[in-house]
Amino acid sequence: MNFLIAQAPATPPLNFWNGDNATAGLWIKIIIGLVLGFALMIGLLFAPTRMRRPIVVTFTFLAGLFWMVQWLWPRAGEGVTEPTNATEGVALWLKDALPVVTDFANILTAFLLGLGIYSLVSIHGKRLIKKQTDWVFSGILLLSIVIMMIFGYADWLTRLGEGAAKVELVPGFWNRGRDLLFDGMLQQMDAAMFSLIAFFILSAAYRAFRIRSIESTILLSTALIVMISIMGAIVFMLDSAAAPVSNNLKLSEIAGWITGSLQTPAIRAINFGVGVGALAMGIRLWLSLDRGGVSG
Amino acid sequence: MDFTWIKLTIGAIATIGLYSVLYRENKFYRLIEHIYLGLAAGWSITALWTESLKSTWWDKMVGTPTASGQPGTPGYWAYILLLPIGLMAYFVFSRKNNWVSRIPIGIILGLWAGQQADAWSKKFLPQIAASMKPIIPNDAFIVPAGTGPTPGSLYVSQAVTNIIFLVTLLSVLSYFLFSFELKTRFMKGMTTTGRWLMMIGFGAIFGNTVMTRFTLLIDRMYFIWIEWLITGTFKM
Amino acid sequence: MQWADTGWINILFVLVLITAMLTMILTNIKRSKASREGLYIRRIAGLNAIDEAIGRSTEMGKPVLMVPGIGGLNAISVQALNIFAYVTRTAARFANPIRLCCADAAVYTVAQEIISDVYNKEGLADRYDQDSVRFVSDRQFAFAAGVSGIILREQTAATFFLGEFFAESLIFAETANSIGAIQVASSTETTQTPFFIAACDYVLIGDEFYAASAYLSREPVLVGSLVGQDIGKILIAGYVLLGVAFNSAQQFERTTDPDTQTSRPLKSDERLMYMIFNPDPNRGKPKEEEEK
Repeated sequence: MNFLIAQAPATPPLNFWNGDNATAGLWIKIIIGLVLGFALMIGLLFAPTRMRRPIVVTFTFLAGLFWMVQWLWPRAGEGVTEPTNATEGVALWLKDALPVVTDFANILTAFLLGLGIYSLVSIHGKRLIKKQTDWVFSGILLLSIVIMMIFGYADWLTRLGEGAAKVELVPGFWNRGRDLLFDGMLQQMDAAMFSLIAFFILSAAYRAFRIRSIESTILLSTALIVMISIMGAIVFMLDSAAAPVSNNLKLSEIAGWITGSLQTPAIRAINFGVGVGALAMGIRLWLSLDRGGVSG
Repeated sequence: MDFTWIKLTIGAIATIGLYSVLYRENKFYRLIEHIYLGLAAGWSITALWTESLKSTWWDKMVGTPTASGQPGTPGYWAYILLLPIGLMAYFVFSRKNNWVSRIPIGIILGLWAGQQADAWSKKFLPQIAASMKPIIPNDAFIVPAGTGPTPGSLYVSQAVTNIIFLVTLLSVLSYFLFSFELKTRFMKGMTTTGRWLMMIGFGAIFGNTVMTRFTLLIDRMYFIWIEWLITGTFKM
Repeated sequence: MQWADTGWINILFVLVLITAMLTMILTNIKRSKASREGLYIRRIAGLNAIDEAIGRSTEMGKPVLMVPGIGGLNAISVQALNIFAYVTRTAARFANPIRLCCADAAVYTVAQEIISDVYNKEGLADRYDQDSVRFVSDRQFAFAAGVSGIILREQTAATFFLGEFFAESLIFAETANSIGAIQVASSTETTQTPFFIAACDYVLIGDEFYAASAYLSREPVLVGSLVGQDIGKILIAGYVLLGVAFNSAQQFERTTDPDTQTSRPLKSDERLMYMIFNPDPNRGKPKEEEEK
């Protein structure tokens, strides 16, 4: 039975940084941490004006530094769990910290959603209260937010723990409601908006066709060849006509050649440029080199 | 009036409402649009906790209890520090202290920026490697019929294709040189060629996408006419 | 071939790119302090159209609409907001109303910050309406529906779609076109650029988008970075050519196939360039036996 013990997830040893679930010790640490965090925030409000930019620059630099070090630091060998020297120690620390830091940006962004919701609620709330144009619709929007929130959250609560299996068998009021709002409306609306693009693609192509510049002609004739090459019946007819002459004249071959020898390198070259641009911008943001904009 | 039918009908009304914008902006569209925005925001708020913060933040901070078959995990209290940092962003509307909101923004951007060197290598080095195609043939003119290509051989036809590949790559790349004044006719010709070749590339993308978009439209039409109207409403 | 298998050549290449950019930024700061003459930047049609578009919307007294894409907070959305700061500055001087619609709360936060900053620096803080920068939805097509509604109801005369756009790009572009708005657009997603080309008046292709802030502001840091980026692209082109030369030469190297014992040319994964890009410290070593 040795292999069973080896496969069980190892519980990390308790230390200063953690505590067992639902123990008073952990809660005290969390509360102290929260108080310290808010103290830091309030302390920052008293920072002298000339210190403001350096503070932001430092935070930005440290956040990026982790990833740069993680990229450049030599990896510890496979199977090494106990460091034998300082380099390996840092490498192992980086390996442990990686899954933690990966979520940081997502968590911070999640806390910011409130600002977005504030924007929505304040714009539509003002319109509703002042009875400006379309205030009825604004009211409906705010109502939809509340209803979706209530049903979404209530549905989630019924599915916790053992509830999930029960809900699958006999959906209750909250589950039906969420099903109606999410699957019945929200997802259908997504699909409807997405499919609208088919109409727009036609009108855009028609207009581009009328411009008659060299570039739009090149773009649309290539588009036409590639488009026809996906239509099974037409391809079959054309290809059977071309087959006796040469296999290379088959429409599917031509379209494949255009994609492989012209589209791929052209798009790749554009992406090289975009990639270098993003890399340069990343370095400038990390080191706060830009003046104005976000770097202040 | 069973539940399934109500659900289908609501979906169909919403679809028709959104489609009505093709004719012109109207009250029906406006109604559906506002419901759509409201539901989307409401769902975001719900999912923020149920699908994001609960598992990535809360459970890691307070730990999880021992459940059936699963050992509990200890909580890491330091996760709480992310909350005040995130809340600093809310100073953005303050006239005096709006600079504080730049701290969480700076951290998010710093985390993003730091990953770029690694991300760039992972994304573009394989593409650079794949572009290094040999251009001098070492074998016959075309692939011999029947036997198929010999490993390691480069036939003349493939070599010509590889040269076209390389020329396309370099001429499009030359189009994106912004700070060098291209004075020679050769370079000017190269950038013009680059722009035209780029249009071929864009055309191919256009052609490939048109069909997938029409598939979506057909799906929607199927939903309205078949699922909702014929089988749902008239039970045919 | 062990020296190729440590993987350091790959890291070195990226470090050389970064160093080239940083060097050019630093030299250009120094150079611009010495003389006031600016560096050459080639003409980018889409950017010259910005003033024209704002001018027209001022004449018509209609708002200018800006959308920084639907991606999260990263260089792309920040770059879009940097360009929008320029657009807003011009619009603010003519007292032209603006609408900036965001699909991400973090981007919305930065947009509030940058746009209110623009008005403050122009001394026009009283003209700034907090509600002109708004969060619409973080759901892709709900955002598309919401922005379409704004375009149609407010009859925006100039629209700027710059940033990370996906399938919804065409919904924006065609809706704006249907009311006759001037459109300047750019997507860093090459899969969407063709639709912008077909539907919009001016399109920034590929990294013209990243060149935009240097082009508009002529700031030494940005112009220097632009020169560095060009050098980066030349380095990539040079590297590709070098690889082509090596691979072409090694076409003629022959080896004995271990299976058939006949002479044949090197396969692509036996060539130097392949080994450099696919470092494997265990290559060439005898394989360990399966069971010890």
